[in-house]
Amino acid sequence: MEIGVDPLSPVPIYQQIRDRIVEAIGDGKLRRGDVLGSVRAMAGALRINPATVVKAYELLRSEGLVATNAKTGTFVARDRDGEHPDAAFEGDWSQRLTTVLAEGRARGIGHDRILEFCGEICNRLESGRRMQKEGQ
Amino acid sequence: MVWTIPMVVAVGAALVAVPRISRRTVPLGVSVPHARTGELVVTRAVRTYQWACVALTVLTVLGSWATKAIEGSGGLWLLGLIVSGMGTFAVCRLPIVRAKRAGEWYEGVPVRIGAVLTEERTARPVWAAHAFSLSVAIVGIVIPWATLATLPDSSGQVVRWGDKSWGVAMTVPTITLVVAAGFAVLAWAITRRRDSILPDGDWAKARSLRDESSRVVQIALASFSVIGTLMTTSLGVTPLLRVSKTAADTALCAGSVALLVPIVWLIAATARAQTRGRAVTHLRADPDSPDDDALWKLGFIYYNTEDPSAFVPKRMGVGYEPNAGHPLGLLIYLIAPIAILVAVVVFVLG
Repeated sequence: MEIGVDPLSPVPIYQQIRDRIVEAIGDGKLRRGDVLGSVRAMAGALRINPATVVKAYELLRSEGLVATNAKTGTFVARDRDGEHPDAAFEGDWSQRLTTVLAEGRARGIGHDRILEFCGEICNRLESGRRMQKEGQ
Repeated sequence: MVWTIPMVVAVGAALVAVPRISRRTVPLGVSVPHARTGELVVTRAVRTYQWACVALTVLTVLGSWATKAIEGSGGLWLLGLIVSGMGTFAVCRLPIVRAKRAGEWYEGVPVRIGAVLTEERTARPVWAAHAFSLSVAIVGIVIPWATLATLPDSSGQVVRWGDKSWGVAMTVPTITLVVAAGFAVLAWAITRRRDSILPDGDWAKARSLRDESSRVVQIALASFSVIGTLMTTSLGVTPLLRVSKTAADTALCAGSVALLVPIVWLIAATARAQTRGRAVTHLRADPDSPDDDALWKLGFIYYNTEDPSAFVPKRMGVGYEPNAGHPLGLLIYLIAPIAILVAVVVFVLG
C-alpha cells in the first residue's frame, strides 16, 4: 500500500507519516504483523531525512501501534478489531475528539453536519475503501 | 564509419522523444502543476527543443557522412550529438523555469509525495533470457579455452588481436560473463526496490504507470543482456575461429543494429505508457507532484544529500538515475565521463 505526505503542509512530515499509518490501521489496510518499509527505504521514497522517518516510527512505537525487532524490522502491532483500548487512552482520545468537534461548532458547522461528517468517516473506515484516497 | 549513422538517427530520435517519454508535469525537466502543462511557454519550449534536436541530428548525419573516410569520426559525431542535445535541453527549459518563478505557479497548489509503505509485487526479471545470456557467455569462455592451444599465433592477421595468450583470449569472454551476471543481478535488485509514487494528479494512474515502467525495464534489461552478450561473445570468439575481418565487421554492425531494437522499443513503450496516462481525465482536483526542481540540477542530475538512495527513479523515461548527493552516485557521476573519454580515446581514436 502507499502513503502520501504533503511537503508544503504546516503539519510536520513525521506527524503526517504517523497519521497516514494510523489511518491505514484504522481502516483495515494495515493489519497486525504487516511489515512496514525500512527507515532508509521510506526516507528514500519520500526524499526526506531518515531521522524524520525514525521520529514517526518512534511515535507509533510509543503509542503501541507498531513494534520493531532486529529480524523483521518495523511491523504493525495491533489490529483495529484486536484488544480493547485501555481506559486512559479512551479518556485522552475522547478529550481530543471533543476539542475537534468543538472547533467545528465554533467555526459554524451545524450539529447535523457534524453528525453527517462523523457518519461518513466511520463508514469509510468500516468499508476500508480509503486505499485510493489514502492520505489526502 | 557509415554504420554509426543508424546510431546517430536513433540517438537523435531518442532526444526528440524526451518530452514524449517524460511525465506531463515535468516538461524538459521542470516540475509544473498539472493545470499549467498546457501553458504557451511550456508548449513553445518543448517545440523549440524538439526542432533544435532534429536540426542537430541532421547536422550530425551530414557531418558523419562527409567525414566517413576518417577513422573514428562517426563516434565523435555521435558523442557531439549527445553533448549538444543535453546542452539544448538545459537551455530550452529556462523559459519555463523563469515563467514558473515569476508566476508562482505552485502558490496554493496542493502537492503530495507518495511512497510505498509495505511490500508490493513488482515485475519479475525475465529469468529465461538472463539464463540464455549466461549460457552464451559461458560458451564464449569454453571455446577459447578449448581451442587456444590448437590455434596459430594470429598476431597481425586480425585488427587489435595481439600475440596469442590466455590473457588476450579470455579477457573479452570474462568481461562478457561478468556483464551478463551483472544484468541478472541488476534485474533482481530492481524487484526489491520500493519506489515512490508521484501522484501527478491521479494516484491510480501513477501506480499503473509505475507498474508498467517496471515491466518495461525488466524486458529491456533482458534484451540488452541477450544482445550485448551475443555481440561481445562473437567479438571474442570470431578471431579464434579464424573468421575474416569482413565477416567480423559485419557481425559487429549487425549486433549494433540489433542493439537498437530494445532501445527503440523502450522509447516506444514508455511513450505509449505516458500517452495512456495523458488520456486519463482529471475529474477531481487531486494533489500534484511537488516542485522538486531544486533537487534536479539542469533538470536531469539528481542531487539530494538527505536521500539515502544511491539510485532514484528517472524523472524522464524509465529506469534509474544516480543520486549525486550519495557517495556511490557521486562516484558514478565522476567515473562515467572518464569512462566515456577512455572509450573514445581507445576505441574511436585508436
